[in-house]
Amino acid sequence: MSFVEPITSLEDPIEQVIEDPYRTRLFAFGAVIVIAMLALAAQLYRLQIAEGQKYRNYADNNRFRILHVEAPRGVIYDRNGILMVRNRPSYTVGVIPADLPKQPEAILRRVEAVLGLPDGEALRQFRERTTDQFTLIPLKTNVDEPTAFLLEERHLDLPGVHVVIQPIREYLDGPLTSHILGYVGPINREQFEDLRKFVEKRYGLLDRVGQSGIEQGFEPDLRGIPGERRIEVDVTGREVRRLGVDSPKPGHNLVLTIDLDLQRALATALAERLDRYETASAVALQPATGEVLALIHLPAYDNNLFARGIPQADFAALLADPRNPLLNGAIGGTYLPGAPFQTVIAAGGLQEGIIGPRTLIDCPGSLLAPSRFDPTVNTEFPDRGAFGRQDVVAALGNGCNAFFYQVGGGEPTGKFAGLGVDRIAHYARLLGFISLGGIGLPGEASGFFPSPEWKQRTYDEIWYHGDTYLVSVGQAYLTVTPLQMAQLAALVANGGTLYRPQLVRKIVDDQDQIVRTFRPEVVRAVPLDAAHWSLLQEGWKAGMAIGQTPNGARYQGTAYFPGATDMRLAGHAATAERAAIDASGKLLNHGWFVGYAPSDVPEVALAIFLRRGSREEAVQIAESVFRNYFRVAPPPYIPPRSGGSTHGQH
Amino acid sequence: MRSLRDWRHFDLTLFGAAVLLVAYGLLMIYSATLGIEDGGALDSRVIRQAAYAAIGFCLLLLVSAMDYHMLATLAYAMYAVTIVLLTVVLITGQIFHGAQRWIDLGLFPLQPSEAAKLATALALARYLSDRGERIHQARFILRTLLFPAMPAALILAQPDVGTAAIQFAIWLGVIVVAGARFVHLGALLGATIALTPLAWLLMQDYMRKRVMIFLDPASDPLGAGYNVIQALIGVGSGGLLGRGFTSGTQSQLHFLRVKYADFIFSVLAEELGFVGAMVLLALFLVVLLRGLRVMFISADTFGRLTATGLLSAILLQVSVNIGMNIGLLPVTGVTLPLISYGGSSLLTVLVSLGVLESVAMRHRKFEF
Repeated sequence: MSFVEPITSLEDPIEQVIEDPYRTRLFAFGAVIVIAMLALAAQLYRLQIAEGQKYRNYADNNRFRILHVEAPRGVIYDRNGILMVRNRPSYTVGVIPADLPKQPEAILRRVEAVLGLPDGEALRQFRERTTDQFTLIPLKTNVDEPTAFLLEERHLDLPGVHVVIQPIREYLDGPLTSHILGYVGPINREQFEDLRKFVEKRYGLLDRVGQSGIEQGFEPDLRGIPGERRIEVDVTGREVRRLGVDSPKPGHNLVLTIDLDLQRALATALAERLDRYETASAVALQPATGEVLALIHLPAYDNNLFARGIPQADFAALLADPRNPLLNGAIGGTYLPGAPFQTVIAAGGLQEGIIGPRTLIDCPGSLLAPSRFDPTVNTEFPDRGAFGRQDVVAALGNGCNAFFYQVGGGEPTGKFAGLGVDRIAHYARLLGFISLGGIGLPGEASGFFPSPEWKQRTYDEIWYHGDTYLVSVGQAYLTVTPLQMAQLAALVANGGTLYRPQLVRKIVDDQDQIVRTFRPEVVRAVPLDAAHWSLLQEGWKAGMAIGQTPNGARYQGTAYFPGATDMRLAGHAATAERAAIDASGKLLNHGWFVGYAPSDVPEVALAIFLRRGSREEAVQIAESVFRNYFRVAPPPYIPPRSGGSTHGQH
Repeated sequence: MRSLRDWRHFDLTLFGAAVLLVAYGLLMIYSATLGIEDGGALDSRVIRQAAYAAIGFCLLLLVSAMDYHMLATLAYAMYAVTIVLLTVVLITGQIFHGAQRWIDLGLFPLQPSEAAKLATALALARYLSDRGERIHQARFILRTLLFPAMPAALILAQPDVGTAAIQFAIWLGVIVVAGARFVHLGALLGATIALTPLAWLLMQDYMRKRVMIFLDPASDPLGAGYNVIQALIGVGSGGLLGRGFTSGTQSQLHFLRVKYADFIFSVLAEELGFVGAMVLLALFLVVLLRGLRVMFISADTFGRLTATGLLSAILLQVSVNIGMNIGLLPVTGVTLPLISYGGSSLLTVLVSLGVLESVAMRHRKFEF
């Protein structure tokens, strides 16, 4: 009977099968089913209803990212609006830590192989430079397009590896302007700490900032304000949707005082015989404003190498070069000044009344100074030649040592006293030496001026009278920079106003609206009578001429160059001698030219320094550069007449 | 016509729930394989799974039509063949996700560990129905343990802990329903607990790791714990109504891995929410309770025990798979029946349901 009625539902009471041993077991089985389903449902309730919001937040954190968008860096123009540096889009390959697998080694090795990086480089970068999980760590900049495309195509095999387009600096003239512009490179910890104060610029530890030159000096101006891109990403970190963008604000552009044509002409002239010099520097200033028209130091480096991410080998080669192409000798090199320093002595002597415009001092070819211990023993101080009786103008023109020995150090037998080393230092400082010009570039040097105490301390020797003589003609102990020499020329040219050398004329924004204009900045009006400045200017003109002063003193200028007499030039040239022989057996002679033109209305003040060059070479370079700058055609060839002519450049 | 009359007892509710579950699964596989890159084109895996479903339902109907007593005759032979296949797969099986589970039959890859569920259930049912009176003997129970133990050992060597465990679930369900004494079951439980430390020692590293991850997924959030965490986030972020079909960020943005197979439940719960998950559980509950009904009405012990074994496998798979998706159980390679992508799993479950239907259709022995 019990089989007649089928069990159609669980709820059916079936008394007749009560003895069936299966029945309780089947109910137990049913209970297990229900309990299992209830347990799952309960946990689902907890996760989805009770804690749903928490997990929703987790999911959102997975998918939303805020990406930093680099702002275009400001570009730089020369004074005539010629572009000197621009931004070029380039591919940067990097990794985002959050997207890398837990063991990233294999992927980093693969990227290394594709990018041609040294073994372990990617891993090292990843370990050292990870700041947060979502910021790209650049592994290589300036990656070529096929490589970038290859990596893009393989993004599924390389989770966490991203190819981004990042602008890099392109320095259009490379080594020609590298010492001015400098370069950008990865920020270091100190720079970061220092730049953090520009809060709105939002500096980060993975940024590239100026490391030298204008790029460093004007870093906060050139840098724009980074933007943000809020995006939704997939698990490999690739953007799937853009949710919002805060556009970056480009940095400000700079208009420099540099005249790129002059810069190029000077550099070309210096480079012509660079193989003979160790280094060569030139600085051209505008005497009326202090604006820097040209600033060159050779050898120079190619700053594009740095912008692209310099390979280790290239960097090592630059560091190993004994001529130090990374250092800007035009502002940071300190050298013996030689004869041009006589201008300081002349200025001091005139102002202090040691000499007057008509004072004549005999220049017999050398100066004999009796020893203070034994008056019968004379020390001979050399001169460039015997010039006869000289006034200050002729002495400056001739670069007559005997004249300035005595104005600086006094008459050997005591007939009149000189300036003395302390007052020389005073006038040197007034005329811009022994102090920083304030050009605003890293690496500027102040030069050096000795003192008796310094000599005692350094050489354990007393300060001899002869030391004052040597200092007076710029031949011992003291050092100056080519920039300071150019400043001296500008100072003489403008008749006594010392300007701060200025590299930037104005800062403009990306709409060409002026943000800031730099006015000429007077460091000091040098307290020297106007008449004295005229005498100094006459002396500088004499330096590039042959003639006779109203006092009857004859001169043939140190920088006299027969081919240059058609231009109105003023200046000096000198061979600064250091009585030391270097390892190669050569005397360490330096050639200087310091001058300005045109001599009546000066437009350019120029200093040229040739390490191991001669003054003749320096003068020739100056002549060719001035000729080029003022567009003066070379004169027809006239054979030089002996005796010289009296018509100068007046 | 005897067989035609049988069809009156074909369990349409059970069949209908299975159809809905398979359709549900296809929808979720479609969503889980939807690539952002290929612009929403139908993934080949959806088509493959649909083809398997079609074959599977044909097999279901075919098996329903067959008298399940034929299976009793074939039970031991099928079991033997399965053991051989499991051995073969160990030797020549393709490597897939670190585990060897497949035999390439040319047409489709066969996963003998899936078929082993059927074989073990049938063989056990046959053995116990033949010797039902000895179920009270402890020694007899231990002997029946050989039926799941042999395939389990071979499956464990693949290695696939989850599927091996199902073998024992089948066995446990069958002997409980067959009437094993509670004393014996208690002793077995005690022995299992006592042997747990030994099992820990015998475990391979990856198994221990999975257990550790289960206990604390955050210990390795980017490694082994990654998918556990991502699955939990997916389920939890679904909320009540879900993120919308094909709109789950966890799955569509690929934060979740192997989402169309073992972790498809997470996709479902994320996109369709608590409501969608409850619908799924309800459908499974229908299948399980209708299966339980078959156990009640079965005309004989063999049918009842076969149904028990097959249902035990499905119950454990549902619990273990969903459990691991929602952080209740450690991760094992157990698929979600009728839902997860995978031909062998789908075919096995549908054939199992066919057997249940066959038992249901023939529950009235003495029909006039």
